[in-house]
Amino acid sequence: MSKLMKSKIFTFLILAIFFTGCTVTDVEPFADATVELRRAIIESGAVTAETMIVADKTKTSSTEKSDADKFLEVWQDRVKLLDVLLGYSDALAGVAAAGAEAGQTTEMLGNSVMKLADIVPGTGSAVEAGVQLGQILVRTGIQIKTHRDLGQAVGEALPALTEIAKYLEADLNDLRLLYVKASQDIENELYNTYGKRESDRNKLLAKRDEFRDLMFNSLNDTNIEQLKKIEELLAFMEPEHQEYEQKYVEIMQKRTSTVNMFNKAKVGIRAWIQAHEELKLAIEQNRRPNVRLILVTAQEIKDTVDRIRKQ
Amino acid sequence: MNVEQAANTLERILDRINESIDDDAKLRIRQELIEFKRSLPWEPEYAELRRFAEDAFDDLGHSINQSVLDRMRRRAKEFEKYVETISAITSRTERKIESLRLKYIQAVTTAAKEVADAVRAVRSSIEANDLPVASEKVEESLGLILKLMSDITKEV
Repeated sequence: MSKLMKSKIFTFLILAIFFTGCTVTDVEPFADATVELRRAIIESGAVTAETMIVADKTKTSSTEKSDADKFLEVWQDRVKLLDVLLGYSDALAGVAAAGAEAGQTTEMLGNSVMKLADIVPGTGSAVEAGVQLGQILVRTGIQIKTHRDLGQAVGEALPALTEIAKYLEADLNDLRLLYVKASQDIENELYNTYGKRESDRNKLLAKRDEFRDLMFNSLNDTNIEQLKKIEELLAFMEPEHQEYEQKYVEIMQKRTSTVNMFNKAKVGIRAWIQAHEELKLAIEQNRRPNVRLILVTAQEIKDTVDRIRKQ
Repeated sequence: MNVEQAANTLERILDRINESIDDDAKLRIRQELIEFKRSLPWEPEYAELRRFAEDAFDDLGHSINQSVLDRMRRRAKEFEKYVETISAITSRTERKIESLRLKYIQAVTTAAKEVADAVRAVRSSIEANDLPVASEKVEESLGLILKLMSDITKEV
């Protein structure tokens, strides 16, 4: 091999070693977290709408558009926004995947060229050295390009995403207000339906306690008879009371877990934008992004949403 | 609780309603109104207090829905411009993915073809027992590989 060729190879080798350190950033965790975040926010909107529809039914019907309808009109745009965010994170993941895919193609083609070189006696190792070097350079070139494309997209998107995150947080706070308001309407209607019976039952319970106290002082047939009648009435009222209690507990449990979901989703938004900032820094500093927080948060959001749906 | 006591309790709750309270405060007052109604006896003399509490509960609820929906509508306009920005970045990134795929597959295919041609030339020279030419062809093939790879690297 001539001196000129050796020096060429040496120069390329140095460049290759330098650029090989430029790895394709792992975007998958960010893309996965975006999927979970989208699901949590859409679920928050769905639970709010469902509860508002039930609450609207408790009010006297009017020709005016219901609050649930008005909310759904506004909410449709948010769903579109979330789809845009998902498209964005998919595109980032796509760049990384395309880089990896192109790298594999390079390797496969390089290998076939080396097989071809093998059939030429005495030239195999020379061609092999060149092909291997070429593979490193092409792979490195792909990584640099991928790196640059990712860096550009992530950097450009960050200011807009930071604003979107603030708005989504404000949205979740507003969803909580709409949801709790609707849940209170349902709770109020439950009391309007069962309140009179519950009040009668409470009076009977007080009366029973009164007779029990009386019996300690003067045990007679009249008292015993009265107490029996009260107990019979209470037993008659028990199924309806149980029904009321069960519905009340359901409303309150659902309220607690749904408000919890809204709060989790808010934390998720903060973690998501932090993960995006971390992605930007990781690309700039050419290192793997720290994705632990977003993975943990995404899992928590997923678990909370799953729990809500099971209720 | 007699009617007068109930009226005082209700008055204390309703006194806290004014224009400056936020939606969370309205929710808290609504919850207190539910509790107040629950504490009222069901006798006819309490019916009017019950109705006052119910009306205040509904008015506060209406006010919450109105202010929340207004805020969300206002935010929708702001969202629009950011959605456009992100959509533009996404489209550009998607186009880059396609170009990345095509560019490298084309470049590597060309490189492979050129090298295969060079290796064939080396083989022909060896078969013709012309070793000096074969040696030149080996150098040529290496030069080709390096030039093509160098071109690809420059492209990015």
